[in-house]
Amino acid sequence: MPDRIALTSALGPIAWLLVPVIALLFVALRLRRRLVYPHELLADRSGARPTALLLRMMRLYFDTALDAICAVVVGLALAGYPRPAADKGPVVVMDASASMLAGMRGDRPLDEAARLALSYYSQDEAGARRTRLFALGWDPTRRRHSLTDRSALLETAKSPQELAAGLESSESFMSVDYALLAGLARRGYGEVTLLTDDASVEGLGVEIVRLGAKPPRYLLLATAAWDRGSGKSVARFVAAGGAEPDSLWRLGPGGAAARAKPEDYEIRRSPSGFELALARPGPWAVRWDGRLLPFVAPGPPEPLRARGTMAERVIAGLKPIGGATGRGVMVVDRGGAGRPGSLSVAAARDESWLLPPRTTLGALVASGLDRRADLALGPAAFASAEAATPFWLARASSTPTADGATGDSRPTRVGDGYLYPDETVVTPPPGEYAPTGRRVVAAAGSPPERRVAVALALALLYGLKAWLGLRRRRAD
Amino acid sequence: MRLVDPECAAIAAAFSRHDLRARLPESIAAKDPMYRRSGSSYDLKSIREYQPFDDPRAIDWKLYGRSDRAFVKEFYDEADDEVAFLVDSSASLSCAPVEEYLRFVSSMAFLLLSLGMSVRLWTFGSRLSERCVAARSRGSHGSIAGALASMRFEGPTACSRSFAQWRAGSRQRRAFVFSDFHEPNPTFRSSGGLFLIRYRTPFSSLALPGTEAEVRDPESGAVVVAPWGKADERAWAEAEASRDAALASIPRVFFRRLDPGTPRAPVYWDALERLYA
Repeated sequence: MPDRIALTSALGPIAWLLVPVIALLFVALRLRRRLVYPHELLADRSGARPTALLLRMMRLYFDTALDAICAVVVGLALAGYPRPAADKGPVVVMDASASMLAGMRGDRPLDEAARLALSYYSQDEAGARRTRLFALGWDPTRRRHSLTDRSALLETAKSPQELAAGLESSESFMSVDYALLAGLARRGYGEVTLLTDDASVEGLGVEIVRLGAKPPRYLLLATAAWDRGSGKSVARFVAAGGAEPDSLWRLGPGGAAARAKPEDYEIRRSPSGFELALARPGPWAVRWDGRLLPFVAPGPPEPLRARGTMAERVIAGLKPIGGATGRGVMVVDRGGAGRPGSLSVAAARDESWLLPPRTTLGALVASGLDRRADLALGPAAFASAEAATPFWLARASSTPTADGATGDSRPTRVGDGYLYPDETVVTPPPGEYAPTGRRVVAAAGSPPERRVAVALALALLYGLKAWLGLRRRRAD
Repeated sequence: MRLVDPECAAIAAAFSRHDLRARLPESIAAKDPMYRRSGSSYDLKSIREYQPFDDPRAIDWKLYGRSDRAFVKEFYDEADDEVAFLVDSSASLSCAPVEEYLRFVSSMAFLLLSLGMSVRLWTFGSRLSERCVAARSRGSHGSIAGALASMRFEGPTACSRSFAQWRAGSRQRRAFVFSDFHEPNPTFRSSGGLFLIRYRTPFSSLALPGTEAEVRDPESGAVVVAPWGKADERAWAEAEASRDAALASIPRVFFRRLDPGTPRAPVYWDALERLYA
C-alpha cells in the first residue's frame, strides 16, 4: 500500500503542474463559440463509428486529459514516485583492509567475517534471492579502491577457512573506501550488511556487524627524508604494542629481497619507535612479527627531475633556474595521446618527492605540488601566458606516454605493501594498524530511481497525443 | 416588419400576362360563377335532373322522395383554387433567418392571392395546428401576415407527421411546406402539387474554421462540442446535400433550398410556373 504521507507530498507538485493545464482549458473554454443550431445534421457522419464520433466530440477534453495525466506523472516523479526498488536481494560486504589480517590465522577478523558470511548464505530462504558477497578493498594495479563481487567464492566455499583463503588470494588487503557502498544501492541491491573490524565506522542504511578488533600492535614508517648533514637517508618508524624490527632487507627489482649488511644502516631508538639511517637510497623493507613492511629511503633531492618525454624537454629548459634557486623541482608528464594531459611541476626542498602514505591513505601524491607552476619554464615563460603553446605543441608531437610510466607497471606484493617498478612503495594507511578516532559514515545510498518507467509513461502519453493530432490533421 | 417583398407586385402582374396564364382552364381564371369548375365543396352551384352519365351516388334522395324524379346537386370545386401553406414554427427555425423566412411565406401567399387563388395557412411544430388562417383575396392578405407576425418558434419539428395530418384532414390538392426539415429522414407522400421550401442558415457561416463550438440544440436543449475543421465542414456539407437530394427526389415535388441572402424572385417565379404547369 502506498505511503499516504508520501503521496500527500506529491499533491503539491501535481497541483502546480496542473495549473497551466487548467489555465489552458479555461482559455479554450472561454474562446469557444457558443451557438444555437440543430444537432441533427451537425452530429451526423455517415459511416463514422460511435467511438470516432465520441473522439471528435471530446477532442479538447482528450487533449486536456492527456496533459493532466502527464502533469500527474511528472508530479509523482518529482515527488519520488514510483519508489526506487531494490530487487537484487541482500548483500554482505566484507571489509578487505589490512586490519582484517591482524592476529593469528584462524583468529583474525577475516576468519570471523568468513564464518558470518557463510552463515548468512546458509540462512537464505528457499526461493528467495541468495545473499551476495562483495569485497571492499583496493586495486593495486589501478591504485584505487574497489568493490568487487566475490559471490563465486561464497558459493563454492565449503568452509570459512576456504572462503578466507580465497579472499586472501584475490584481495590486496590494503585499505577501504566506505563511500563505494553507495554504489550497491544504485545497482539495485537491497539490504547491505558490512562486516568490518573498524570501530569508527557508522552505518547509514547499512547494517554494521563489528568484528573483534585486535589490540594495536604495529610498526609504521613515519617519515623518510635525506639528511644533508650526515649524507644519509633517514627513515623514522613508530612502533606500538611491543612491535620490534627483526631484520632489514634491501629490495631489488621485482621485489627480490636481500638481507642488509650491518654497514648499510644504523639503527637508533627514539621515544616513539626507532630511526634507520641508510647509506643507500632506494626500496627497503623492515621485518617485524614475521610481517614485511616495505618503504623507500629517499636520496638527495636533485635540483631538477623529470618523468616523461615532455617533462625531460621542459627540464632541459629549466636547468639554469633550478640550479640558481637551489630548490628541488620535479616535472611530471601526465596523460597521453588521445586523452587530456597535463604537465605538473612539484617543488620541494629537502624532503621526499612523495607525501608519506600515512597522510594520504595510501594514495600517491607528489609533495610540494604547485599547480600555478604547471606550465612554467623560465623567467620569460613565467611572465607569459602563451608559454603553454609551445609546451603543448611539443607534447602533441612527442611519443605517446601513459601516466608518465613506460614498460611493465604491475606492482609486486612485498609484505603489507606493494612495490612498483618505478621504485615507489604503497603501504596500508596508519589507520589500518591503530584506531584513528576519526568517525566514518558508511551510507547505503539510494536505490535506482525508476526513471525509465516515468519516461516510458510520458513517451506513451505524448505518442498518443501525437497520434491523435496526426489523425486530426489527416482528417482535415 | 414589412412582410411582402417589394418585387412581388411586379411578379404577380408579369405572371398574369405570361403565356402560361393563357393556357389555364377558364374555371380557374373565371370571376363569373357561371364558369367556375364543379367540385365537391359545400358551395351549391346548381340542381339538375339526373343524367345517365352522372354518378348515381350524387342523386338527392330527399328530392326523389318528394318529386319521384331523380335530381343531382352540383357544387363548386372550392379546393381547386385553395393552396395550403404549412409553415414550420418549431424552435429550430429560430436558427434560420426568421425575417426572410416569414417574408418569403407572406410574399408567396401575396402572389397566390394576387393571382386569384385562396390560401389557407397552418403552422406546425410537433404536430399540425388545430386552427388555420384563410385568405381568399389579395385584400385579406393581412390575416396571413398577421398570423405570420404572431408566430412563436418553439417545440420540436415533425414535418412528416404534420404533413400526414394535413393530408388526412384537408381537401386542398396543393400545398407549400416551409421548413428547415431538421428531422431524421423526412418523408412526404405526394400525388402532385407539393412545394417544399427549405430555409436554413449554413453552420459554416456561424462557426470559425479550425475552432470548436459549443452548440446547443434549440429543440432538445442538448449541448455538444463540435470541432469545426475542414473534415467536419466537408462532412456537414455532404449531410446537407444528402438531405436536399432526398427532398428533391420525391416524385412530383417542387423543392428549393434558401439560404440567407438568396435571391427570392426566381424562386417565386419558378414556384408559380410549377403551380400552373
